[in-house]
Amino acid sequence: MSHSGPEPIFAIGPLPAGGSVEQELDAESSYLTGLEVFVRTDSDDDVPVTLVMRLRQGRTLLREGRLAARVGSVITSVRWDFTPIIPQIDGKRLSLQIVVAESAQAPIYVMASLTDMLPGSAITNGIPTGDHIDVTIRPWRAIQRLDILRVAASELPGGWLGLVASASILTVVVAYSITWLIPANQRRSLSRGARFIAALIVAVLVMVLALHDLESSILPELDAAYWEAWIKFVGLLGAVLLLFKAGVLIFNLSKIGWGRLGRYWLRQYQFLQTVASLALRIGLAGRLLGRTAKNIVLIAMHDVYDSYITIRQSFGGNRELLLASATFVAFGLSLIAIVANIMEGPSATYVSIAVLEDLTSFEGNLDILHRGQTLPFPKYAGIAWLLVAVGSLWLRLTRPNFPPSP
Amino acid sequence: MTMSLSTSRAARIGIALKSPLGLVLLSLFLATFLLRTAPFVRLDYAAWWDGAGWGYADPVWIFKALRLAEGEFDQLHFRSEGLMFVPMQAVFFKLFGIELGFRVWAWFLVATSALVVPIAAHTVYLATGRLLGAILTGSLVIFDPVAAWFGLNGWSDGQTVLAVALAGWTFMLCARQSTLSRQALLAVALSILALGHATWTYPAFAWALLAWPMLALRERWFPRAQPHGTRPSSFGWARTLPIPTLFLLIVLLSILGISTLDNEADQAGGLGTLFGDTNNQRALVVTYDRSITWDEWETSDSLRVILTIFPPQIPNMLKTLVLGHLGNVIPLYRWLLLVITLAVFVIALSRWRSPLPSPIGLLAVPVVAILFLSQQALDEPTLAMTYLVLALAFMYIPIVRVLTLLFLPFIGLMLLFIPLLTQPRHTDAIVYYVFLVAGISVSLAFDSVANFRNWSLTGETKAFQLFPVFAALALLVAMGVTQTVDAVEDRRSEAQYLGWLSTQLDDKSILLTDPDVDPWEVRAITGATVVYDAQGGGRVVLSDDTPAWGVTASMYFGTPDSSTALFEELRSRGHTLWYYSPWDGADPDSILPNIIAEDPRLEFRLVPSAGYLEQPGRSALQVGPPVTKTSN
Repeated sequence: MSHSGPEPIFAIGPLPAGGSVEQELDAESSYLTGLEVFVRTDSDDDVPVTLVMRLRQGRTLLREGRLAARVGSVITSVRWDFTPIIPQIDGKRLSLQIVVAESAQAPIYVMASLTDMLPGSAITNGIPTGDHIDVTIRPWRAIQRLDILRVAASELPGGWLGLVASASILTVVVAYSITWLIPANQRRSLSRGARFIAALIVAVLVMVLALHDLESSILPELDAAYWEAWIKFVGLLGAVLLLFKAGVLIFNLSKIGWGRLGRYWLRQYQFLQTVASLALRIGLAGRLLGRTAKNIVLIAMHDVYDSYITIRQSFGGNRELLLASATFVAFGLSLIAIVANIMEGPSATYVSIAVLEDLTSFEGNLDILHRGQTLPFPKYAGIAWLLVAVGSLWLRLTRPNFPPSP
Repeated sequence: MTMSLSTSRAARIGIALKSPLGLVLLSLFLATFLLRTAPFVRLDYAAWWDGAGWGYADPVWIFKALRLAEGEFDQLHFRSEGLMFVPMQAVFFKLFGIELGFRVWAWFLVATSALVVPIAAHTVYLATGRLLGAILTGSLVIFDPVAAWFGLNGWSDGQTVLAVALAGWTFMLCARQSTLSRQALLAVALSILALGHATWTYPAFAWALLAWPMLALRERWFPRAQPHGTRPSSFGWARTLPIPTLFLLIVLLSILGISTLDNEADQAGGLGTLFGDTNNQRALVVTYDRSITWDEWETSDSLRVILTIFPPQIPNMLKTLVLGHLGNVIPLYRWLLLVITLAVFVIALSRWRSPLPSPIGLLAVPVVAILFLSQQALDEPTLAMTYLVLALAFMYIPIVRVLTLLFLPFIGLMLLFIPLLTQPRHTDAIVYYVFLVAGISVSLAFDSVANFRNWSLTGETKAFQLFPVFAALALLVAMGVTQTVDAVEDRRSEAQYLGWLSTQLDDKSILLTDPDVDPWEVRAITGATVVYDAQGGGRVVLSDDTPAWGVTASMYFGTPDSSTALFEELRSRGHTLWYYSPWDGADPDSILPNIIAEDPRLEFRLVPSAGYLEQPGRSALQVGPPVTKTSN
């Protein structure tokens, strides 16, 4: 957000009790949770000071509060925290009024900036100062996890409905495209609706987990990393559903019995297992699911092991299974790399095509991410494929019956 | 007997019409023909206008074809693409005369350019047996801007694109069933490729050589290979030997035949034309090795440069090739890479318990790893993704491996000449290769899914699968119809303007034109002396006493001191000077004539003399006085 830096040698004041100073500022994002100003007094000792703070947008009073602090001759930052302003105020002009309360024991000075970083000028007791003189204000926001989703929802058309719709569309696209690719299983008892809801829950949990990393970001919804979380969302959701479908595939393809417990798990607990294991990871399982969840997790862990044994047998051994998994990981990384490539900006133009209006065909780039964020992905995919190649050659050399027939 | 033959033929025609494949290919051709017709009718580019103003076709192909049509066989040259493109153009001039010949030739180019699309689609269909990839490849070729441009603009590269498509198609025909007739077809196609454009001489030779073992071993890499029929398969590798043999025979006999006309037969027993590109080699060596001068060049220097200096430069060259010749040519290139990746992923997924690439396919991994070590790949994600995605297709799809092998000599040659000669018109063959890879990947992915889900090609399932195919075709045809109708309307509107303009002119009027017009039509409607492409050299002057092609402005007007002097002299003789360019929403303010040699060129004001009411803002424009500023 735009703000003005304080200049220790320049202050507006002294402002006695009842005195005021006003300053306009432009909000660069939604979800404002506080404003920080810098003040001092002439007193050598810290004296209690109360400031009445009012934040307006035009004539609308957005927030009002009393800010108590102890201030001495040293410049002190005081922060006015208020409940988040969620409606879209980004780009809107706000006005902050600071009034020295009647109870102030000493006149105060409000520190100012001379660099004209804010719109308008400071207005002292209704009288404008020079255009380049601004009250030093630092907008604050304390935002984390679901708050980011709230902000994102407020940024999307339709608000929360838009967010849910986006997540739903992504879920449907990922979940049902895979469902479409892989045949239905008569033994499966979960309805499509149930699978959709489970996939959505997993998606939101994964999203929250991914957004945890963004807590240190000031404007996460404007940070490209925030949108990377969506990519992770799609990738992880796809992987979860793929694993589920893989179970059905293996059942159909390998013609190997799953075992009673395995089948039971396949029918009843596959999504719960995913949800529970993810919930455990983020430390919410105990609070959310309690003892029941623990039991489910234990069953799920048993099932995972059982599934692992079955899958290992169908693949022909641990190493073969590891190599096959590495292959799919390499595919996943390749897909992430190409999606990231689509999301970045245009390539440099080396040769012009004279008959095209823009002298080049449209590559299909979305220009969402900058190059610095997409550069590593092809490298990771390349390394993964190198490992697959090495592993494959090694197994071919060491195992006579490798690879198994499809 | 006659009745039974007719009935049989009618039945076969009926089956052909009912066959989805035939209908798909026919629809693709129709859609492409319409979509190619639109830019020709608009005259964005045509047989006499290359669309960019390079003017290379005039002295090379058009000139030679006109001379050849007059019986001067010494115009048959190999190095100027004079063995295929020029004779074909000459036939049209001979049969129809110059003016009509140009127009019929232009329509012929539209048709042959459109023909590439069903050929590409059928190539993918032959490789995979699925329509989906065939439609995809066909659609991609339709919207290839370079293929559309050079297919119509009178440059010989359009013929090369067609020849590449024919070579790929006949190769797949042979892969399906390598009968002698199909091998002969492949040899002929490769010969056309080799003789048609000098860039393809050696790559086509390599293709013919590679086709021999590849087709002998076709059952190992081509799942749809059909047996040789009733004949015993005891011939082994000799069975496909006719391809290189026939190819060599055709090429050598053609070159020797040309040498009897004393054309380019300067060395090597009449085969000098195959080895005589010394200037290109000199330029190549001088470019790569600054220590060698033009005159110091020896043949061994070429080999030394190729073996020692060129290999470390390959990553640099690949960067230019991928970003400058693929990424900026193929519309939605990055999405196409995504489609190929997803298709290969589905193919791997369908091999569930054995998702690993074949040992031969793994060869791609170290190659990509070496290329990834280059900083170029690390700096350009699109470049890195191209390596990776093509490597994936190579690893998992045997047909792609063989196609890559066949195109590799050409790709290598294009890389080698990137700093000198390689242009998008040459590398469009590599674009075509990427389109084939995309179509084959998608078809095989669809095939995997269809086999897995036991989809059959009957009843509702067939209808379900064919619906998107025909919807896509209907969309393409509709686009073609719309664009063509718009273009025809534009031309009709221009003809009306020219009709009105003719009422402003008198019998001594001289009309200077832009290049994107039909000069003969302008002359026929206005009756004025036409100086065609006045800003691009005054390439043709059409008047009562000039032929339909061959007299340029400098030939017609002689050598006056300057444009100003020329215009003043013409005016003093009672001529009026007018200017015509197709309407693009506003009249031009000035022109920079280039009809005589002068330096610097002078810019002249265009003065509106009468308003054209049908198009507000449009006028009849007269060439006025020079503007004060000058331009080079």
